[in-house]
Amino acid sequence: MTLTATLLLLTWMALIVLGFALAGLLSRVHRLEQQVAGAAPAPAGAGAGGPPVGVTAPSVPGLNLEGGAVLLFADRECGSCRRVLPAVAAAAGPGRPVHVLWSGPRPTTVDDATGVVHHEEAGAAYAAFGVRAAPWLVAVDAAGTTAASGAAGSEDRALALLDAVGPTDAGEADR
Amino acid sequence: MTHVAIDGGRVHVTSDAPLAAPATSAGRYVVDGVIREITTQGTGFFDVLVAAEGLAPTEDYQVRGGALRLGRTVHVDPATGSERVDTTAVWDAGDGSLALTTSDLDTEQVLALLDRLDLRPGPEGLAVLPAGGIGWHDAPQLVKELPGIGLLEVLPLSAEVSGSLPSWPGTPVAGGELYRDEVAPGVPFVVLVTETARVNVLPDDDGIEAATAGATELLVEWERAS
Repeated sequence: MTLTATLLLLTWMALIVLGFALAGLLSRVHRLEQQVAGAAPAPAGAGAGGPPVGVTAPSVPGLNLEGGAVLLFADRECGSCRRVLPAVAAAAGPGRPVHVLWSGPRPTTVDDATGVVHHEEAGAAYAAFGVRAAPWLVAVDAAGTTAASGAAGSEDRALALLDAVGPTDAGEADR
Repeated sequence: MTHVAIDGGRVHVTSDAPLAAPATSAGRYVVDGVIREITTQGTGFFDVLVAAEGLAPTEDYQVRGGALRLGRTVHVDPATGSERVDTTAVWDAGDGSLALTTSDLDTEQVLALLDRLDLRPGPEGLAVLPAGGIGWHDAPQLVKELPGIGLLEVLPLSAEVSGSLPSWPGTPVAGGELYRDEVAPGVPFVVLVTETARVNVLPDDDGIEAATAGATELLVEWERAS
């Protein structure tokens, strides 16, 4: 075999090896693409606490959710809990009471307001709803299903959560 | 003076220089495949950022026995005019705080991240340990200013950190071995290698000679958390 023929043979062998390597690489890239495409993104807020939307609200003794309600989980140490309450009470509308669930005692600086029910030492509600941060807002519809759930550390965020739910039937009737 | 680093290690610093300045510690964590940097420092850090950095407060929460406050900073690229909005979250436990700046996490994702970390506040400082599938990306560090000497960047002496050191011995000093290196051409700094830590001494206005003299007397120990 001449030198030229030997070099040609070696070149072809190298090309074949490279071809297999390339095929393997493309196959690996394809599998990775499938894995990325198949990986469902984590829903916003997953792991932050609070119930998911669209589930039956848990039953908590002393908490009447009949006809729908807005739950505001609050803590006396957080300033925003007190700041968002008037806006939430106003936006909740008639026929949808606001239950303020204080993790401990209710601050003396929070006054009573129409349609707002305060619950002190509401640790059982925190546990039942899986809430770990305050303020956290949960809206429950007339069917007892969670219609909104999210962090409500500013007036804008709290109102956005209520906007997503829409007015109650009673609120609609008043318009 | 002893400071608690973000990994729970206790960093002992002995020097003739004033030691009263607080320390900041930083750690980089791998969270769901993304590297996130968290710093720990004294209490009241959010208000410092509002006053000094123009952070605009947006939300606040009570979570895990501390106060979480969030604020926004808008950065405008002068060349392109494009804007980037950063959210800074500071969780304050009363005797220490942690801070995280992000441009991609929303409030609930920040809360979820906070919920996964192993937070250990204490009178000497706050430790933030990886948990819930979160891991360290690289070695944590502690930063402390020593007036007249410079800024100390202290890293625990791990195999990774040791690998970045020169193979030749440095100048023997009280606290270990001393090397000189450059941050950039013509910008020197001093490296003190002790039995437990690598200490980068970045000179202040007093210059490299003052930093070298100070590092010669400096004792630093990174006592790992048990």
